[in-house]
Amino acid sequence: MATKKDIFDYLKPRKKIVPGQSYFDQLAANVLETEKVKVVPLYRKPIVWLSSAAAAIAIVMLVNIKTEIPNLVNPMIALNEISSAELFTYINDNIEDFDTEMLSEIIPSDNIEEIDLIATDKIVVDELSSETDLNFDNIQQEDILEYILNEEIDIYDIEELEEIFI
Amino acid sequence: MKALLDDKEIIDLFNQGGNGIDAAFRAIVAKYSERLYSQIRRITRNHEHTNDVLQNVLIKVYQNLDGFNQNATLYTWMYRIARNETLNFIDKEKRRSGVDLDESIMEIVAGHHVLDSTTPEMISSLLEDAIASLPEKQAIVFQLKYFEELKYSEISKQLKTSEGALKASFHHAKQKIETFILFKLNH
Repeated sequence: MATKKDIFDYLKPRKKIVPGQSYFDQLAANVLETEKVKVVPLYRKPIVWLSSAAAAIAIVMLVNIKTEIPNLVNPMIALNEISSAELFTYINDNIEDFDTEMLSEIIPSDNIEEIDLIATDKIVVDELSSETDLNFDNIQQEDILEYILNEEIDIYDIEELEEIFI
Repeated sequence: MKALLDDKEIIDLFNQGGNGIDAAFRAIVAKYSERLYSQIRRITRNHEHTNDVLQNVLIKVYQNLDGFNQNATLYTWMYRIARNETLNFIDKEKRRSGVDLDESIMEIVAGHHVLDSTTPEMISSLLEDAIASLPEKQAIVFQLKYFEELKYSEISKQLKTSEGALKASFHHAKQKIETFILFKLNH
């Protein structure tokens, strides 16, 4: 009795085509080499990216701090860049923090809110700069003597005063 | 010739770390690369593509060996990686430029009323499609038995499955493949 045939009786796998043994011997070496090379590039590691980003941020911050330091060291330079209008606004907002006597001498008004800030720009700057000069001509001798007495200063210790009084 | 390590020895070697990792990988390549090559080449049908895919497969094996689930066998695990990698490659190549499947993996013996009207290339493609449609274990058993011509005892060791179960699996696989191919050829 003939056995029932299936399609596998009519199919035959072709002879396998396989490279020589040297190909397979080399495979592991190739892959290991590829993997080692892959491991070397640090830029592929997230930790390196994060470190680089952190370093870049730190450098930017340091540069900013460095550029800000001159302003902190010499505040007078920074003051030159501020307009009088800004100064007045600041003084108005922080009036209680200032010596009122000093302000009354600088500002020719009893009420700071009445000042035309833009129009008085030049005056204020002039008065501020003259205030910074040490000019005893504008000070009454009585005022100087009163100051010396109040401060209990020995006038023979001060050369400038010697020139004035002697 | 150097004796091939079994799966457990390979994993133990890998777990030693250091040089053991590379040694374990070399042992895997020595033991399984030829079989993986044949499996991939049956689908890609040329050496260059097979070489590319096989290298990718081995790279994945190297990179993921620490995550290998020891409930499976190394070959089953690698078979799955190779199959996915090959099918992805074929898909990509088809979209890019069309794959030239220039080798047929089968010959047709004259005398079958349906097969006589087809070509070896078409049968080769249908056979691969049929294998791809099988459950993974059946597909592996079929390929190891039909193409690699391994004895059931050898397959049993590699897949940690009884010979009886393997025979049943192979029989079912053949039936399903026949049904698949005849259905495709008749429609």
